[in-house]
Amino acid sequence: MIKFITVNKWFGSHHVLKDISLEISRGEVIVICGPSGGGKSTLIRTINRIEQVQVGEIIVDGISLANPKTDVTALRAEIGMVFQHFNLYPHKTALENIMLAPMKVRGLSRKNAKERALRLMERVGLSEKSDMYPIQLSGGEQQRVAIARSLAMEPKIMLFDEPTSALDPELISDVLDVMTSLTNEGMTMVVITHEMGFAQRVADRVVFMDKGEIIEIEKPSDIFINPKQARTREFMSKILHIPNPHKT
Amino acid sequence: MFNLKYDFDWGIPFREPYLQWMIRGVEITLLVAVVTSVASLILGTALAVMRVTRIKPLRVLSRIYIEIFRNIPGLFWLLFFYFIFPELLPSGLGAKLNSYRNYSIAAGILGLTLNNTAYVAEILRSGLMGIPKGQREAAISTGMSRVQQYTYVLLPQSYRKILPPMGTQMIHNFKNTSLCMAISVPELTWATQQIESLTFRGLEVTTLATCFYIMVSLSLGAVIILLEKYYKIDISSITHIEEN
Ligand SMILES: Nc1ncnc2c1ncn2[C@@H]1O[C@H](COP(=O)(O)OP(=O)(O)OP(=O)(O)O)[C@@H](O)[C@H]1O
Ligand SMILES: [Mg+2]
Repeated sequence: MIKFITVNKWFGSHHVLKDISLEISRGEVIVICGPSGGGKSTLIRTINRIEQVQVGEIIVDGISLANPKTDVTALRAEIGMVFQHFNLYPHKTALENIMLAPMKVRGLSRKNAKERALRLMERVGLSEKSDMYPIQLSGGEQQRVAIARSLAMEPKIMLFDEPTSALDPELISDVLDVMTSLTNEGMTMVVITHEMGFAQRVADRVVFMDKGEIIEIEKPSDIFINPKQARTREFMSKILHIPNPHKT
Repeated sequence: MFNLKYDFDWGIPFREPYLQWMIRGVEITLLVAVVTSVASLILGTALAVMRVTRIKPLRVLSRIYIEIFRNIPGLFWLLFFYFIFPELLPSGLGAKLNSYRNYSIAAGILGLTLNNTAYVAEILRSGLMGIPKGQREAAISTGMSRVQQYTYVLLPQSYRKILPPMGTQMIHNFKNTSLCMAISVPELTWATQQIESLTFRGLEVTTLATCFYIMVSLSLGAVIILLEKYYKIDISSITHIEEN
């Protein structure tokens, strides 16, 4: 579904993605974790070409992003993206946020878009909040609306960039529940998160990135309990708050 | 307070043909104000978007326009379009323009619009630059085209944000219509000057005109405040309602 072939990217002289090769199959759930500045966000932002790469090739759903003939705008409509800071449109209600792209990009009638939006609001557990503006919603509610907004385009792939890291702890589980329900429907998902419980439960593979490189790709059970690489081990012990036995 | 050695004759403004000049002056003033405001809002939007696009030639073009019109007095542009512009055209066309009875009004509208557009564009650009990057990324990620991003996400937010300075600019533009008297557009200030020079009694009509300018400016200001209140609902207030 998504294929990276020796992808390299620089911001100026700063080499942020180094020889990334990764193949993600349809329906797979990939969790990406790693230290800050390691290139996680940059990596998933190359999938819908919000960031362009200089070297290598990315193929999404059989379409090469490097091909100048590729209609990137059309491809983006098939890829949902959820951001750390939600990025809801503040001048529109929750429902209008969800309806906008289906109407303007997919050409749905207002009535159909509204039906779809109401259904999605129900699905994320926010039926009564349809007419609220983002500012009137809690962070967790905003993030669920943002997920609904992406789902309204009926995407083939969903990308999540630290969807819960701006949320208060008690709001996180509602968002993770919605994401878990997506995995059950066979959505292809790439999720940057440090919620290791979530990764443990739903991820097919966990990718550990540091300094622009993929250090390790493992099943969640292996990477948490028994990482092969020293850098992974060090990072895991930090985020899992396990005392590091290798430190003297 | 004042000791004006002047006997007001309030009959003057209501005597013909002066009354008619005044009424016509109000009409022309409003016409020029409305046309220039709307036109500069449209042109200013286009220039502001050009100014922030990735396409360098458009950015440069917009920048040049703004610098030219912002740094030369508005009155100059009125004089330019009235006196000089027709001379620059092929002689037949220029003469035709000059003979056209309302050419002065057209020149006034053109000069004021182009001048006001530069300011509108800069105000709107500051609004666009103040929108978080994530807004655009959200729109991009749902497959919106560039035009759609601006039409539905970026510009509507900018307009709301810049209401206060834009209101001030529009009031400024309204009062600037009085500059048109310099090219004998029969607007309100011109009418008062005409009446003054014929009757040597200008204070009555000038007082009335001043009241008119104040009234319209105040109303414009009130409309802006109403709009601000209205749009606050969807941008940044109301949170306190939930806390009750
Ligand atoms: N637009 C940009 N211009 C220049 N440098 C950038 C840009 N975006 C990111 N970088 C740099 O690229 C590197 C990778 O950033 P990225 O945001 O992908 O890291 P990350 O793994 O997502 O980190 P975090 O966990 O903090 O979100 C960082 O060093 C960052 O400073
Ligand atoms: Mg990041």
